[in-house]
Amino acid sequence: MMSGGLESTAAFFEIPAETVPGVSKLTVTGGRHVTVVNHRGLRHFSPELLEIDCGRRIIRLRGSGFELEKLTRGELRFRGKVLLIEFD
Amino acid sequence: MDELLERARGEARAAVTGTQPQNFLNACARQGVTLKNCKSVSGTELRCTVPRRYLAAAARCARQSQCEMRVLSRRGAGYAALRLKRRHALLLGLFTLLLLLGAASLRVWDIDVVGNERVPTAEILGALESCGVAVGADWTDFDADLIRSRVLEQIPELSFLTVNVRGSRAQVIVRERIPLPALDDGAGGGDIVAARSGVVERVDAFRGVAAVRPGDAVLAGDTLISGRVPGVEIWGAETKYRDVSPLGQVWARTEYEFTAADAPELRQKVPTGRRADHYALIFAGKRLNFYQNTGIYRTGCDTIYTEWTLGLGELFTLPVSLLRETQVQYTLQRAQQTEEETAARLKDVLAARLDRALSPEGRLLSADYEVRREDGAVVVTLRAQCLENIAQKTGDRPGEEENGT
Repeated sequence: MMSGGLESTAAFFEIPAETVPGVSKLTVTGGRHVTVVNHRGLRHFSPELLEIDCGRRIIRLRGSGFELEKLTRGELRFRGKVLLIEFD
Repeated sequence: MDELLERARGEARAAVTGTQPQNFLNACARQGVTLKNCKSVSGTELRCTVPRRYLAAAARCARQSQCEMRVLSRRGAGYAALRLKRRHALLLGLFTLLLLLGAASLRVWDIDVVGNERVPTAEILGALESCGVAVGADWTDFDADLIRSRVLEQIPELSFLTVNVRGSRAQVIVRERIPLPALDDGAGGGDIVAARSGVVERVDAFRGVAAVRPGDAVLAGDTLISGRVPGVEIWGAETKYRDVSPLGQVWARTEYEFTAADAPELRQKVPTGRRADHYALIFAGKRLNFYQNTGIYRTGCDTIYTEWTLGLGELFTLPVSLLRETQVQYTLQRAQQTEEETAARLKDVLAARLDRALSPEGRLLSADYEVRREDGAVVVTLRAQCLENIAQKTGDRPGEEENGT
């Protein structure tokens, strides 16, 4: 999920997207652990729905038993059963 | 590691309520306030764990987000220390306890003797006590060389002794002196006779004259190796015979027959459900009972002892231990057994009897069990054939000269 000129520049030079500063990265481990790096905040938080603001896009995760394990300025980590991931 | 440090510093579990609780989360993220284990309880309330150092900042974030934050619980060493700060008596007690522990660790509260087989532990402990090594003694005064020389002088059966002190435990390692074997110059007399009846299989006569050959049947008491050997001519004088101490082994095939009988029933313990716990405090070997009567059940009960010693593992032990004496009452009830079960029980008894009767180096060649019923009882007969050394030394020949000429 790269943004603006950085997206096209990284794609042009074939640079791995995660090396570009400020780019959000979503990692799902085993369908139960999710980590989002470089997020901009939470828009909605409930045990069944999570909406994460990633700048230009919103990531929406649907599932059950969502619990926020850790929330820091740059990293958001939560656990729960992930059933669906949507990008807006 | 950071997680552990954070927990040690202290954490608080907080409930945040408001119309938009996620705004609180975003405010915390913006302010660099770390939150953990956030759980949405309802659309207007969430609960999270806040590290102690971020608690004030989290409260500010809650106010900015128009939410209300209340602390539900606090945990961690940081908060525990804060609570202790106001309890001066408790702190004084802890300090005194530490002082006592320090003083107690300079003394020996447990002595463990290892390496002795023939010399009783009580005898070694008695000798050690006379040298100043006893429960409650200051181990800094121990002189290992002096203790060793004094104890070895008191107990000649010991060849080595050392005292290792670890914390408040003293481990005494001893080595026993190996007894010198009795000298056998071959002189003497007597015979080797059969300890049991049997059929001779092999004769090893190392000294003396073999009186039997393989295949001979012997009865218990028959001479197997004679200590009277034919004389030789020495300096022109011929002796008729001379007596030596016979030495040898005679292996024979022996037979055993044992019979056991019992009724086909078994008396077994059935707990009544009644039990009683008694406690006692043992301080430096002195027992202080916390009960008056020694037991509620005079008969028909199992007693289980459990002892907890105050100390820190192998590091040091304090002379205080709590003893629990649990008495569990039972009744003996007869339970019927099948003939097979009774026979199996009796076979085990007979096998144990045979094992005790057989000489240590003997071995079992064959065993046959016969099971029958007699007057309602189960009777089992064991007939076994074994191979064993039946040689048994007798004393000197009474009333005879040592060397007849």
